[in-house]
Formats: sequence, structure tokens, C-alpha cells
Amino acid sequence: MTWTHKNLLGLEGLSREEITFILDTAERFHEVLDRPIPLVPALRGKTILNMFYEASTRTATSFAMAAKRLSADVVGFSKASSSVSKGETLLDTVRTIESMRVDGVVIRHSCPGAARFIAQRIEAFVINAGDGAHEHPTQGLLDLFAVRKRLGSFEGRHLVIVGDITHSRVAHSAIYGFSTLGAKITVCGPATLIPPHFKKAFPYVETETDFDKALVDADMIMMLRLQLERQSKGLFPSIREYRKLYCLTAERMKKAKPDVVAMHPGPMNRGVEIEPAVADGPNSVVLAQVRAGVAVRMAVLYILAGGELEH
Amino acid sequence: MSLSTRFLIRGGYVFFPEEEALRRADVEIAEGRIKRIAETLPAEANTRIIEAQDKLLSPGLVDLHAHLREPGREDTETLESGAWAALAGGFTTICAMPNTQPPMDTREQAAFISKRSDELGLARILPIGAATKGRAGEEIAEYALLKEAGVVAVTDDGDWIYSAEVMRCALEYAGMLGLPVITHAEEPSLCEEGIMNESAVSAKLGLKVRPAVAEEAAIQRDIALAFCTGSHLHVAHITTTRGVELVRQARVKGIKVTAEATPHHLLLTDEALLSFDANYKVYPPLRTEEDRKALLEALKDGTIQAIATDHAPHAIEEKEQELDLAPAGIIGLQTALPVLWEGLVEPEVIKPELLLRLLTTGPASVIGESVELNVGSPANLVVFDPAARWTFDAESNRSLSWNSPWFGKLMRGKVEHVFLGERHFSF
Repeated sequence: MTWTHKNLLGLEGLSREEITFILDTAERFHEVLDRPIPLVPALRGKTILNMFYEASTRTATSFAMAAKRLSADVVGFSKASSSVSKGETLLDTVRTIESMRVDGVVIRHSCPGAARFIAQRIEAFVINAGDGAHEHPTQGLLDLFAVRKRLGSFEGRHLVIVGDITHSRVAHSAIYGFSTLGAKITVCGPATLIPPHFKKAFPYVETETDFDKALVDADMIMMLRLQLERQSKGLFPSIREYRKLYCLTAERMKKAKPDVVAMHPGPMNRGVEIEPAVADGPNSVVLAQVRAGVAVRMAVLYILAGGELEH
Repeated sequence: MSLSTRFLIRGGYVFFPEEEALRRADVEIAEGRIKRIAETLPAEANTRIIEAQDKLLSPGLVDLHAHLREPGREDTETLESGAWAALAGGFTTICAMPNTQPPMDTREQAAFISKRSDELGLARILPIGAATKGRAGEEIAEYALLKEAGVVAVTDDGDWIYSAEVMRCALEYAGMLGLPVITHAEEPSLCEEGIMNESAVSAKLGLKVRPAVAEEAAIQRDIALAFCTGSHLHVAHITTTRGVELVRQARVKGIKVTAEATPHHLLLTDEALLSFDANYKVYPPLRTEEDRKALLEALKDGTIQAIATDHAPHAIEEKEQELDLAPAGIIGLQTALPVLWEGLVEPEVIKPELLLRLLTTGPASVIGESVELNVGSPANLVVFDPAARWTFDAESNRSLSWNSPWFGKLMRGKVEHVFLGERHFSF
């Protein structure tokens, strides 16, 4: 197929063919990662800039590694070490980058729309590595990739996303990605952490506040990270109560289908949203997700850069 | 501007505010006053004739809600540039909001606005005073002294007065002096860091919210206080279905409540934010189509008395940022009449007479002013051509800022002439 998008700002609007194309491309790079020298020259001479305005270890590392495995030059900054902390506006930062002529920009930012803001103003391609509570498309893709390896296909499969739906870009991208590939979706969490107009925004997604009800029929369970500071805002009363209602425990796993796939985007609050026995158990794909992350990001960089793949 | 003394405006549709009627008539202006009005008037010697066939002749428009940024942010607007933008939009009277730097909370500051307005001789600028000292929401300002300096209302616009006790005092004290208290009705604890309406759109975009219930809760409390004090409460930029319903019910009960809506809330919805364009970020936020329709109904049944621009200039470097960081507000003085005409009158959503009432006698009555177009009254007239096309761009824009969703767009409907006493402006 022919890829027609300049940027990857979200999974919203991507077709089944496009998502499958990325996953298939990632499949080939996943094999590259097994080689003794896991390196291809696909993006030699290209420069990728990683702009991380928000703390991130795994996504930043994963993108840097993906670019390096493709032989691209990688430069980057995180908020603390850049002139952002000196008060430079995003627009000025964009102009600076533009004059340095990079080929691609990977941006993580706490404000929804930030990746799009940049994409509208530069010639380089832009990959959204998470913009506030909006989207995190490569996370959605790596989730799809990791699950596809286990389950083969998504048609008729049921994904249950559990936790803080309101503030989750991971949930949004998963909703777009999994539904486009044919999965049925239920979001589950306390009423304070599901937006009141959620059904209007996503009429094809079910909502459920009772995790025990939701999990029975699940083929995939995605546990979201709970940001503990939400407690001080009154969105949930205590960790103890949250754990009781929404932690994926070994006990709960007994009620789920035996081959259910358990996901977590990391970093995990072990014992809060997921019990260690589950996170490290046979149903978990947590580490497979991390590995998939590198392959998927290689695929996205490669496709957007229009590189040549040598066999 | 010219000081020609005699004009004959011929063949236009004239809006007579007292009868609320539009009729074809010729209007003669001499020495700054309306000399004659008749179906047809002969052209006399030394008279400049302005052909106004298919055009509209209205009393100058009145805006209850303009942020003119002087003093403090003269880089974004001054009293002078704001008054020019007003004239170019057909407004001959504008009310200056007090959230300047420093806030307009003393007689001396208000007197400065009034004096400057006289010196400029452009659109008349009426100061609105801060409701509390420093806009801090704690102690009421000196309303009697403010009134002496020309203040026509008081408000802490930009913020809701959080303390019910302070708001009660403001209403009691302002009521004694016949000044309306204008409320910016958004309960802040429900809007923390919020930037857009809570809706299906916010659920998708992940933007933090300022829900409709924040406006409803604020209006409900303020109406309760207006009822218990018997004073005049004016609800600025009302946006929600339930908020409008609360005002409607209160008015039925005889409580002195008035309300205004902005052109952007009447024409746009929160779907516009799917673009992440900061020129759609306003407080209160753009709401849903259902809310927009409720506002239109409220215009028609008289629940809302005025359309006010909430003209809010911001520097481009502030506005062209991440949506979370960009300041809220858009300019509107120069575009209000054209966009409302094209958006509401042309498609016959509302009648032209109603639109003109909402922009003249409606707002004037909120601040106890009157609007007239009679033989003998001072010239205060606007000639508007609904069919004229122009582009709202750097060249035509009279404001010092250009944060507007209509900037760069082709506009339909243009103010061509403004007569203000002996002064004549053509655009």
C-alpha cells in the first residue's frame, strides 16, 4: 500500500489497512532485533530529533533506540536540560529546529495538540509520543503488536481498559486502534475517572464501573497507570479502596478467561493497578510490549522517513 | 474623518429603535444633528449625498463588554485603537472592562478613561469599575466615587466573585447607586485548569474542562443574591442551556436579571476546538450546538437583552502557543455586526430588527442609557452594507491584535459610514 500521511499524530482516522501496514512493517523489524547486530541502514543520513517536554524513560529510550537501530542520527532534549526551562516558546523552539534541518521530530508534551501544533509549522515529519491526555499512537500500536503476536487477530475479541480513562492518552489511542481492527471495547473505572460525555464521544465503546463484571468476558485487559496525585484532587478516596475495586489481582484473574492477555503500558504501580503475580505471570505481555515498542517505532520512523529497507 | 456639515443619506433601510422597525427613508444630517427624516428628501446645496440603497442605517451600536487593555497592555490594545476598531465595526459606545493592569478600581482611573474618551472623540468609551478592590474579591470598591467618574456598572469580569458575602455586599451597595453588577458566572472550583467545554469533544481531545455546571451553579447563586438584595444583576457572556433557563425563570419571578451573549457563542460550538486552534479558546468556553440553539431561543424570547463582543485582544506570541498555555479570548468589535448579519440574519435565524435591538437599545437599557433616532437628536448613525465584501486582514484590522477566528477570512457585510455628532468617518 502507499502511505499518504506526513505525520503520525494519532491513531484516530487511520484505516485498518494503514494500521496493519505499520504492524506488518514492525514485524520485519522485530526480527531485526533478534540479529547479532540489530542494525539496518534504512535511515542512514537522516536526523531524528527527540523532544521530550515531559518526563519519560521508556518512550524516550525506545524512540532513541529505534532510530539508532535504523542507523539514523539521533539528537534530543528533555525539558530540564533545554532552553524550554528558560522560557522559550514552543513556536521559537520549532523555528530553531527548522533552521537546523532535521528530518523527523518525535515530541512528548503535556498539552493536548502540541504535536499537531509543531506539525503544522515545520516541514519535518512529526511523531506524537504523547500529547497530554489526547493520544499516544505508538503506544497504541505496540499494544496491538504485542497482542497480535498472542491472539493472531482482533476480530470479535473483547478489550477491557481499566483505570483513569479521563486522563489517559493510552486509552484513547487504544480505543481507536483496537476498534479499527475489529475489537469490541469496554472502558472500566470509577465514575470520577470516566468523562461524563464519554458515550457521546465513543458510541461504540461500552462503559462499566464494576471491574468484576467487565473482566469475565475479556480477551484482553489493559491496566492503566494510576497517577497517585489524582487522590489529592478527590477523584478517588484512597489507594486501598482503588486497589479493592480496580486492581488486577491473581484472585480476579481466576474469574477471567484462562488465556486472557494482560497489558500495562508501564511504568507500573505494582500492587495498585496490577499485582506482581499477574504482571510477571503467564498472561502478562508487559515485557513483550516494551520490545514491541522498539519494533513499532522503527516501523513508524521508517515509513514516515520514506526509507529503503534492505533485505 | 471629515467635518463636512451637511449630509443626505438616501434610500437606506432605517432602523427606528423606539418602534423597533426597519423602514426605507432618507435622513438628513446638519451641524451634527438629525435635521429631517422623510420617505424622500430633496438634495439641497452644499450637501454631501450618501447613496444607501439596499444598505442599512442604524443608530450606533453599543457594546457592554470590551477589554481595551489600557493601562497595562498597550502593546495589545489602547483606548484609541479599541475605539477605532469599534467605529469600524459600527459601535459608537463601548464599555471598557476593568481587568486592566492595574485593575480599574478607583475614581482616578475611571476618570482617566472618561477623559481620554472625550479627547479621542471616537467611539464613546464608558468605564466599568472593578467590583472589588484590586479585583481580589474581598472588599467592594468605591462605587459612588467610581460612578462620579463615569462608571456605568461594576464587575470582576474574568473571575467570579467567590465569596457569596462579598457578592451580596456588591449587589446591595451597587443597587443603592443604581449600578448593575456584572457577573462572570463560572464557579472556579469546577474549572480548575480547564480550557474547554466538558463534552464529547473534550472527552476525545483530552483537554481539561470548564463544564456547563460551573456556569449554572454560579448563575444560580448570583440570582439568589439578586433576589434577596433586589439589585440589578447582569450576567456576562451567558453560554449554557440551563444558565439561560435560570435567567428566564428569574425574570418571570420579577428578579432584576439581565444577560448578554457574545457573537462567538451564538455562532460557534466546541467542535471548533477539534482544530486545536487557540482562536477558539474563550472563557466561558464555546459550548455544544444544543446550547447555541438555547441562546438563540433566549434572544428571541427576550431572556437575553444584549449581544456583547467580549473583545479580548492578546498578543500573537501569547496566543500562538500550546492550547493549554494560550490566553483565553478573541477580538470582536470590528467583526460582530458582519458575522452576526451573515450568520443569523441572512439565513433568517433571527430578524434584522431583533439583531439591531440586541446591539443598540438592548445593551443601552442594561446600563440605563437610551438610543434614539429622531429629528433633532445628535447624529449617532451607522451605514452598513450587508452585501459588501472585504477581507479581515492586517490592512483592514483596526485593533492592535488579531486573535480572531475570522482573521484572514473573507467577510460579508461592512460598516461604511459612521456619523457621530459633527464627525463623519468612512471605512
